[in-house]
Amino acid sequence: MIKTLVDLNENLASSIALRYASHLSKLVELQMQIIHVEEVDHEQRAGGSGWVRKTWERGVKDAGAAAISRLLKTEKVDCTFAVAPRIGIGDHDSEILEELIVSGHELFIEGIISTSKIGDFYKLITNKLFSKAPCPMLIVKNLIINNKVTLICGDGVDHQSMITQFSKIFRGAKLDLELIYYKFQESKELLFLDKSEAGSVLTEAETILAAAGLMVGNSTVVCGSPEQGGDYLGNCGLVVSTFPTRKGPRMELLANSPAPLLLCR
Amino acid sequence: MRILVAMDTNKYSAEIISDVTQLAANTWADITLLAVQAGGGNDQPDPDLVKALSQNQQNFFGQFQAGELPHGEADPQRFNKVTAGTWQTSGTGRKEFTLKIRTGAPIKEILAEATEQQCDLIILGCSKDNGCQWDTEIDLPQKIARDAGCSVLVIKEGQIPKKITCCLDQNQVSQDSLEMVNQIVNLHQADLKIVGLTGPKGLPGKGEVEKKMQEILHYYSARKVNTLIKLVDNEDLEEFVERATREGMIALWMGKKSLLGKIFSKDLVGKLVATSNSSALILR
Repeated sequence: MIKTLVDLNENLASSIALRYASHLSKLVELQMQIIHVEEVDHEQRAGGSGWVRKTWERGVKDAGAAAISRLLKTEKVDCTFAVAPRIGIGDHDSEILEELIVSGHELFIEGIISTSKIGDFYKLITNKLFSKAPCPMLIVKNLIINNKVTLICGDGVDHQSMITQFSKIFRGAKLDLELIYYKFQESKELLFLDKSEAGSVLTEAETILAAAGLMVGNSTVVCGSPEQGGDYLGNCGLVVSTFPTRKGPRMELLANSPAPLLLCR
Repeated sequence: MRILVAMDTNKYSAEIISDVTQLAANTWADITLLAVQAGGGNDQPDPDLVKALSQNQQNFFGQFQAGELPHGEADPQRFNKVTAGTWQTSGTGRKEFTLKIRTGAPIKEILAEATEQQCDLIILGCSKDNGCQWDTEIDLPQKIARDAGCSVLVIKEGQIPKKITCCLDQNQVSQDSLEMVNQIVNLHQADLKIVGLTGPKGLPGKGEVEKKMQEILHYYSARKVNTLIKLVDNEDLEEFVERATREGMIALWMGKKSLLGKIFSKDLVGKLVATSNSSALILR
């Protein structure tokens, strides 16, 4: 069972994340815990540490719990969650980061609606939560339900580390696996080249995956613009890569992809 | 639902019949195939238009076995004069099927017919030469899309959209328009992208637009339509639309409260139809 923390709010992004988490729980055994953080600013926060503050906190937590309860009732997802949702008060990223570290979660799931601005994606993956999280982070941008999983190598990806973390979660899952090595190239359409064009990277990655019991169906080098690459990834049920360390072609590719994205360290 | 199909004698008009038939079969809409002849004292319907409408009707019914459609064939030999310069013939069936010819300026007559019939949708084809053209009146498709009071679907000759991008910035989305998009997605087995337009304060409408997007997503998920969601900043809209039209069909929900109505001024709607590489759907 993979200890999984699912961040929810009463909104569209969470609706998508919740449904995707339900799909994922059919592929791998997940022990899912919901977290919801009520963000309050300094002025709203009750001072002191006595009865007034405790009553205020209880009220805020009750409102948060009610919102999550409404979401779960609306979505009627077919999966189970461990115990009651954990409701935090305060800074969203700090609360979640603390929960990830203290409870030793192995996977984090959050719904994010993608935007037309590449900068928004870069800001997200470099924020406090994503940059310090101790586990793989799954960003659900869209509800794409199928078993096709594409692992992206090249442009600074430590494929050994990525596959180790990926296979820890997905070992034994029935997946339609694809390995791609992405290269930026301005062209009218996306080009697909033989895997030898990536040197030994894709062959090595195939071997590591095979050792983990995961067989690759297709392995190829993909050349094109990040927009073209993003469109290509649009039919994937999951795209896997490591955190891009800089603004570059792979970061833009991941930003342009509408597919759910698992970022490993 | 009532659909007005504006036609002339050209290939691009004949080619839209298969789409019209599928829509009619799936939505049980009342259908009128309308052609417009030039004025000039004629007191008879133009034989070329009668022939074209008759041929298009034949193609319409030819795609189904007898009795599979809720419409009945009209007799093209029996065009009845309705008013001066207007003739029509109708079939008998559960749903109306009418062939109609009007006389006058095509744009004016098509818009007048849509208003009189209180149509939900106007469908018309166009050639892809120089953007989007009609033989008799070059910019007819743009002007119909721009000025009609109902939804308009402009189908470009030889273009099959693989992706349909629907832009939304307000919560007034009719059930008919949702179903219309659903039908077009199914017709072409296309992927659907719902785009929410955001401003500096995020999505407009204090959460109402987001809620509507959620409802739309559920609506299409329940119908097994692959639906992607994206937010696009108003500032980036024109660039985004230009790219989306290169890849597939664009649909704009132009509600009364819609910012699209401001961003896409009437002329820009016409421009969108003219410059789009693929078909365009204006939802009202």
